[in-house]
Amino acid sequence: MKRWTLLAIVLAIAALAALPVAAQAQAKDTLTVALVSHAPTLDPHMHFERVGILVNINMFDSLLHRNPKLEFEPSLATSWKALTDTQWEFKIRKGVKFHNGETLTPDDVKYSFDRVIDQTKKSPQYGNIRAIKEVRVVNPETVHIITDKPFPLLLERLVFFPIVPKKHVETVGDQAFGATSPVGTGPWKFVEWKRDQLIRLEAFDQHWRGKPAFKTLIFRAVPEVATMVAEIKTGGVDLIREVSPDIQPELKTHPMAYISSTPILRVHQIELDMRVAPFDKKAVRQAANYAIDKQTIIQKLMAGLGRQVATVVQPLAFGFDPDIKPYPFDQKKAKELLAQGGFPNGVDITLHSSEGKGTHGIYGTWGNYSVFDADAVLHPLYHSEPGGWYGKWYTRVEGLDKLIDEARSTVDQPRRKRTYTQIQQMIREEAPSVYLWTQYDTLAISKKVQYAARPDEWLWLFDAKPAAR
Amino acid sequence: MLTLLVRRVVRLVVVLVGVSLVTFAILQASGDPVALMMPEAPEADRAVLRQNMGFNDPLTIQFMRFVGNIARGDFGQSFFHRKPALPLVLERMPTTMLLTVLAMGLSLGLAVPIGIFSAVRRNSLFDHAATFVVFLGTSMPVFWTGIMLILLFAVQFRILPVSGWDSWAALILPGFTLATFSTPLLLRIVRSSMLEVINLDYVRTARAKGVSEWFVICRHALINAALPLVTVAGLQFGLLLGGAIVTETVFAVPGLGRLVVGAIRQLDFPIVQAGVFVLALIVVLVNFAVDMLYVYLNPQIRVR
Repeated sequence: MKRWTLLAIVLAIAALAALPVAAQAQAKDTLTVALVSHAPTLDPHMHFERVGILVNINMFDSLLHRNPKLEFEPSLATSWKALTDTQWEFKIRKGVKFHNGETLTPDDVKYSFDRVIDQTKKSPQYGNIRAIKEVRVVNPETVHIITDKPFPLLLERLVFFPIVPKKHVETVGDQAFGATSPVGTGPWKFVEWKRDQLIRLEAFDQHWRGKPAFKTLIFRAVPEVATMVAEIKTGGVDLIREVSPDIQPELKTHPMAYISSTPILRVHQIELDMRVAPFDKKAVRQAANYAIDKQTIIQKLMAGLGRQVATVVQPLAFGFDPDIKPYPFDQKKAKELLAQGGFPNGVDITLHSSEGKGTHGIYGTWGNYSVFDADAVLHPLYHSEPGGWYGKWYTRVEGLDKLIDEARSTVDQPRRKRTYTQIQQMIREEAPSVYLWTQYDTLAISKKVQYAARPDEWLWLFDAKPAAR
Repeated sequence: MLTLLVRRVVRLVVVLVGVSLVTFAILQASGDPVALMMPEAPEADRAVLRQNMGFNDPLTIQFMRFVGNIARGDFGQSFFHRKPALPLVLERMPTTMLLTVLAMGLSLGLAVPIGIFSAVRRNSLFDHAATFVVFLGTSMPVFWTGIMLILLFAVQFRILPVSGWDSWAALILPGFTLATFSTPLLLRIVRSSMLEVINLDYVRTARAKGVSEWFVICRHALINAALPLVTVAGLQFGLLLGGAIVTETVFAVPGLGRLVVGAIRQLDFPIVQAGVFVLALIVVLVNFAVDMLYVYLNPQIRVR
């Protein structure tokens, strides 16, 4: 028996050694957010994941900010203007401090862009700002951004383009910057990161907007929805995202939490494979659009939190034309169109939920990367240039590429708007997709915290305040 | 003894080569990581990356390179974490091992006494109740058990934290959840093997010597009944490591399982390969330890 006892003791010691230190009780000046996961790095330029962006924006500032009404606001740039179609001028805010005490300079701005443009660094955000040819430091408070062709999305892209400290990054190296010593100018500074467990941030005293209301900000990684809901009910976390309609009624009336919901840019659609039968025929594609009862799905399955769309261009995006109406639910019309397309007795189709071979279509959602412009959905979905998700595979609409290019190569907004109207008419008629609905983002928030969901899906927690009691 | 050892080590190497071949093959067939790494980049940029990463070489070359690197402990850089894969995996190991060992300890701590008692008091109310609980336990999937335990002890009674890994209290629910996975089978094994030996001659002889009933049961009967228990416990250890993946997800435990599952979703080959390799190594080592335990428990094996 002694041997067994010895074994037990050894195992117990091993267990003790492996256990992390006991947790401190959650203080009132702490705001805890549950995310499904952590991004692979805290370096804001070296990933492109929503969960990472949500953490980064609270640690780093970009040149521009967007308020909850979706208007641009000055952030690290105090003002900006287009000098020509391809050259923009930005005035850089003076006296901004990084978390390590250094002062922000235009060199940091240039460096931040250069490290994404530099292809050897393999930044996944390269595609976003590929149009930027050069960032030029003009004088100690001015930078110019030069694009290779007119780039109407520039300002949108700059809302999430964090500025990092050149000297610091070069000293510690890219690797350590993303893992152990991220430094920005944002409201919170980095304390510790236990991968897949928690990211702990602390309020930065010298932040240029002033101090945030919560001293400590924690982003926990909680992959299971049921666990997240249990956490918010017991006060273990203060904020959870993507609360699905079936859980909302319970949390709406819960003594610990409330629900905050807002329409976002995400749009749902079924991409149809136009290269093969039956969706090579326009009538069949239109039939598919008529045949699905989207309103009932929105009302019954999504708790009404959705809006039917006429095309993939959402009501919130620049270029949206409200005069173009969604396909109504009309089975009779659908049958007629099917018969016209050569399928009087109907046709069986197979859909996939990810890139699959030999199927007739694919169900997907597109988040636009929180860019409020029709281009952010049209180009990646339908353009046939490599890099487009479906344009390369499924979509074959004559003349669509040309119009998308036309709209993205001018900064004349009224003209762009006209082009987008043309595009929406075209894709509604040609129906390369079954257009479904836009989505809402729904947060559940602790009653101790005052905050509201934003249309860009951001968690800009500088706006979060302790609730008045 | 030495031949046994050599034979086991050879088997270990064979299993590991097999495991790496299978993981390599499955991952090759499962998709293009470059498309995921650069979702918005043009095809030309992707082609450059693909070339640089060596994805254009013949598969045999890629596999040889892979095995050669493993031999040096190099599983390559994680595509997403941009760090060497093996340290990332090893960093998570203590957490997963702690959870698994804790669950195994709880399992044995429950199964052995209850199993013995069920065998000794065969067909008693206790025995029937234990059988019922066993059926219940085997019928519940781990994630469901976990969520139910959370609802009961964390949401209803508020006596334990919902999830996390930052206090002793946080270990209790995941440990028990995972233990419900292996306890039923172990309990059945203890009960049935105790029933097998409890009426054998040597047990009767021990009783006849006049020692106490519990000494007879523990010292004489249990040791002989332990052989199947050790076998099954060893096999269960591997299954528990697998179950730990689900448990880690439910309880937000930062273990190896979550790292590997995330990596599978992102087609992060090096992490998956390193993770599967390390897990396979542990399973093989545990089985190796079980073999050695046999020798200790049953001298007949040594003679053979």
